Amino acid sequence: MRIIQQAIFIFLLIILLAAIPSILIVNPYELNIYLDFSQLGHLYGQFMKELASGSLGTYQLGDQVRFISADIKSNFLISLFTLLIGVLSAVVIGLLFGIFLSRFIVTRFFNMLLNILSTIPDFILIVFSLVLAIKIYEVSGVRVISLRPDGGALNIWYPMVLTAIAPTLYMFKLLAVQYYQTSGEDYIRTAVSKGMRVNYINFQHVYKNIEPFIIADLTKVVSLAIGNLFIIEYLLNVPGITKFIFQSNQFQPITIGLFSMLLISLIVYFSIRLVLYIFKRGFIYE
Amino acid sequence: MAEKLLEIKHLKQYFNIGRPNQVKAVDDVTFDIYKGETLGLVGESGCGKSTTGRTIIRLYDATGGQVLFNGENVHGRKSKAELKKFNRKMQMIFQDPYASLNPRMTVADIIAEGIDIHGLAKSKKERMERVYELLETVGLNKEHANRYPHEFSGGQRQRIGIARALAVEPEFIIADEPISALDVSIQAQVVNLMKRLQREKGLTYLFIAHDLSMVKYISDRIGVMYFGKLVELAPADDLYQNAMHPYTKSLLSAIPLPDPESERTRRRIMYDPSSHHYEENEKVEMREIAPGHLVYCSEKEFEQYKAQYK
Repeated sequence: MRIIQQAIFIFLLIILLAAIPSILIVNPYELNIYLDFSQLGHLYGQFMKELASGSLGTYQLGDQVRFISADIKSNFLISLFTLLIGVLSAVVIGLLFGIFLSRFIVTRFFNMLLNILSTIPDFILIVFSLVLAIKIYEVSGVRVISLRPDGGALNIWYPMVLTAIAPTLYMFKLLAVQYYQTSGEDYIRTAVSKGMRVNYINFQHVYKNIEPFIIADLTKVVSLAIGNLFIIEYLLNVPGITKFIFQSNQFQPITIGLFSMLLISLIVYFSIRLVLYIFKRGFIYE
Repeated sequence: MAEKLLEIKHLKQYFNIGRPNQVKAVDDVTFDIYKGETLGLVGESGCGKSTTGRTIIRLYDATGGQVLFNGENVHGRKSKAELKKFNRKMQMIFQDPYASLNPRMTVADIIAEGIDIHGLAKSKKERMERVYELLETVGLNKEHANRYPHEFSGGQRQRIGIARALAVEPEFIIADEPISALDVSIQAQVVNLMKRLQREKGLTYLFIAHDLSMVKYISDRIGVMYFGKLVELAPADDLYQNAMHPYTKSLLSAIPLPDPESERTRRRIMYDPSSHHYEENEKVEMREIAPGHLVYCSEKEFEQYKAQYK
């Protein structure tokens, strides 16, 4: 029942948000802004009519008017992979350096580096990374990124890396703190006093107790990655799902874009949960 | 004379070595533990009792000194097989029964972990039978095996901790304040359980605590620690009747008695470390003032204590 309530609430929220650009009226003569709610009925009616006719409608891309259905699959997949790889990297790097390799001196330097990076806002990091890519090209002549949407891997790998930065910093800090706290518990001391190996203790005792925190904060990690995805797809001209949201202020593409983004975040969330579940079943003693 | 199980020789455990905040948690401590006995270790909070226990079991690498278990140095270089053997013989029970059990493991897994690591059960059935047997040994039953630690009371959790320690059939158990976090009514149950297990299995205990009355009840000998040093070591009754070191006297004077009359007249003896008036280069060490009764003192104090000893 609660899930149905939440679904209805999310649906209403999305169609309301998507309608804002259409009902937000700027009056240049009287120099004021107001919301024209009288258009809402027409917008929603039109949207339902399009869906009922089996079409997703059109969207404006520069001077062209394109069918959403023609582009949605490839855009959806690009955003999905970018987000999935970004969040997965965050979880894997966080687990590796936050727990399993945390005893090595090299990890301490890595920790220090990430701590310094975490003081810099995400947006600045993304802009700096772009500048870095350009500098690499200037100095070495090696093109590491491409802003052409048809640039293939060159257009997609850098956004994936950039999407991973903020969630990785967050995940690593979370896991490092949890590891520090958990490793001081008496049951860890007991395990040490029993002569268990560090890896065994990390897998069987530490990970088991940190896993609930990872799962609890996974939604936060996904939302951080989505926030960055919006910026990255826009700045790096990635033909992802945010194209529908940013390229025009039409109700139809924005609604479709927001629903697609919701679906992407759900797929990413459950995929990571699945990965963690497989990891637990495979490595952790039950 | 009973056989020595553990010999601790000039054990030192310093932290933050070479820094301004260097701490000498354990400073040149020497004592022996005999097979089948319970040695109580008492002292105020922060005096180094727990650190001594943890260093003995290798939770910390000793800064100096030796820990000999059955004549073998615990802290020396060891092969994996030797370490495994040693880890099986020496176990530890921690103070906080809430923190010492992994909250994400079932009681059966907690107890059986040692059995699995040391390969003490050939099949799953044998493993579970051993778990049930251990649960019954500590006064629990097999229905408890599949529950999680949060489903138990403090006393029951400490019993699970004891069962876990017993799972690998140890010879020596370090009990680091095992009753401090328990309700008074439960403390006696746990101590009696430990005594019974000692009788039945011939265990040797190092019982770290600051409840002097409980320590007297369970211990054969008692060591008193102050600021990282062992200041007095004597048979339990002897220590209570003939306490010599002023710090031991101070500790004993702090024991409350369940008698309003004596409580009204009880005089606390305050210990002042400067009262010894040790001269520079004066040798202060553990000296035996009576058979088995050692006091940390100077030569001058040694003569005085010997004269005072009844």
